[in-house]
Amino acid sequence: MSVESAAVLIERGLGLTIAGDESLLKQLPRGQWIGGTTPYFMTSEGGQCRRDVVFVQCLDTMDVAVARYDVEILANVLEDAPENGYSIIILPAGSPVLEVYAHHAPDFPDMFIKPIVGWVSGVHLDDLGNRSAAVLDGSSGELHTDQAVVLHVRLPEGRSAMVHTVNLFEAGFGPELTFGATGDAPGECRVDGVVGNLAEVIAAQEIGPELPLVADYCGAVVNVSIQSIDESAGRVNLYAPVFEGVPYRFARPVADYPAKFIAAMPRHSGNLVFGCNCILNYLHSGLKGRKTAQLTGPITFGEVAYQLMNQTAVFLTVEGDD
Amino acid sequence: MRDTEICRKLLQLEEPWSVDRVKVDVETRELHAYLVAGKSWFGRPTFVRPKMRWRHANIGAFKTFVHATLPDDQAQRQNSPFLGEVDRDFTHGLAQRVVECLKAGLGYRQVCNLLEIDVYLAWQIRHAISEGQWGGDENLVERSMEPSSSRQIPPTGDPVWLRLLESEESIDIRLLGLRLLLARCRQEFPTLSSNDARIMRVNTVRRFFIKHEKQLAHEISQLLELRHGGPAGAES
Repeated sequence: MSVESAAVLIERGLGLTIAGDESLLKQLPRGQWIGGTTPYFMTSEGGQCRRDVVFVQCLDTMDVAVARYDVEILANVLEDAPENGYSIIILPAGSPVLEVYAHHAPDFPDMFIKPIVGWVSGVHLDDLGNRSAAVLDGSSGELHTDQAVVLHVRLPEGRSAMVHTVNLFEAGFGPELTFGATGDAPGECRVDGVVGNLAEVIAAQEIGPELPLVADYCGAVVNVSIQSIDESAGRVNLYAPVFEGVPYRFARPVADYPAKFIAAMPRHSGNLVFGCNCILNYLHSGLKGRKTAQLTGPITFGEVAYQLMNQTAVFLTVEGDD
Repeated sequence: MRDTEICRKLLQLEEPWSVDRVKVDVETRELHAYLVAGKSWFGRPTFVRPKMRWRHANIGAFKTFVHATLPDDQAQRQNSPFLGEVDRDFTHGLAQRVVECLKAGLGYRQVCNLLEIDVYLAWQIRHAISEGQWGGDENLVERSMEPSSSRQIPPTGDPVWLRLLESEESIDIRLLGLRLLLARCRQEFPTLSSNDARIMRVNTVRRFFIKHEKQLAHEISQLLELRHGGPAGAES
């Protein structure tokens, strides 16, 4: 929508999350909203890259609180969340606060107990290296590149927030990979229990950049995507950390992502109030101009469904308890 | 006077304890007090500190929750009414208040209503009082009991929780949060050397079940089946 239309919603006092180009976000009035930079969106008309509009997700409630978190207080994010409700977090790509969230969110107090979703802001791919990803605190109008912004949303009794992911990747038939330490630039790993090197596995197996590492978390498949390979250092740079002791495998390729995505969306997804999908799915799966069912939202540089995810669509529904 | 200082006085904290932060939720009438002992924790970042959460006696009309890291000193743990035990969800102060009300002649259900204690917490406190703590005894509670309501989710000490966390017992889970939480706890469980740390993980998983009970009928039925020695369910 246009900046003018977004401003009308802000001035009505509604809780909003807004994605768009930095120059547009800075034009918006103060209010109960948080924003992040990305020019990529999944709209009801399909995947788009636009610098002239913003994408607004309206939470249809005024019972929200905007908060900012730096590295020092990020661990308090869910303690600050309402007992019944949910939180939406936006973190800037490449920032220390994202690194802390990626590595330590599973250990934060109240993690997994209270629902939290969100995304990682970024820049147009043509601007990589020239501009920084940013987030906006709508309550103050301040732009930040080193803090996370969060919208805490309270729900009335009898309503609950449910976090969902759509992840089409499944473990492939390659070797099982485990890592001796949590990190986002691993080198050495164990390959089916034998000491090896991740970069060498990728080369030997001819793993394409579109295929993430996947791990099974009691039935939930969690991806870790490849950013780049530093052959001279024998290291692989990842978009999220691999965790110590967790077994991973490279995923199988997914053909015709949009069609499979629509098939994977729950038929009755409830009242969908938030959604986002990954830039890597947009790029590798040809989502430009293609629709992904009722899931619309920003195309992002990392997704949060409790912990940081990669190459995953995340959405949140609000449902009655009965 | 700052809100943390007022809260410190209301909770009757003594050195080295202080209130780091206070969160007041007017809508739900909840007060959350985040306590610290001393100024730092050896410089370690806050997210590596294992933190407990206990229900305390109400402050005014507000249900009060204390969040703190348990001290190593056993005497300090037991003598601080604003702290609880690692395997319990309530403070010594709240349990003491329950005993006082029972001794004054109130029925157990009346006490729970008065103090706004839910069914799971009520069962925990009743069990602890029956063991003779806080000047209570088994008869004190039994005399005050009316027919109890049904309880689905097992108490912290039930072996089913260890079975769930120690093994790769397959359980069909539909909620993403529980999948991630259980996977995380199962990864950590073999590496935990202290019993307290293991109980804290059990408490966390149990808290998830209590908080999301209405969405977890499918998972709770498997938990109860597992409790009675049967298979938990199909692989998800």
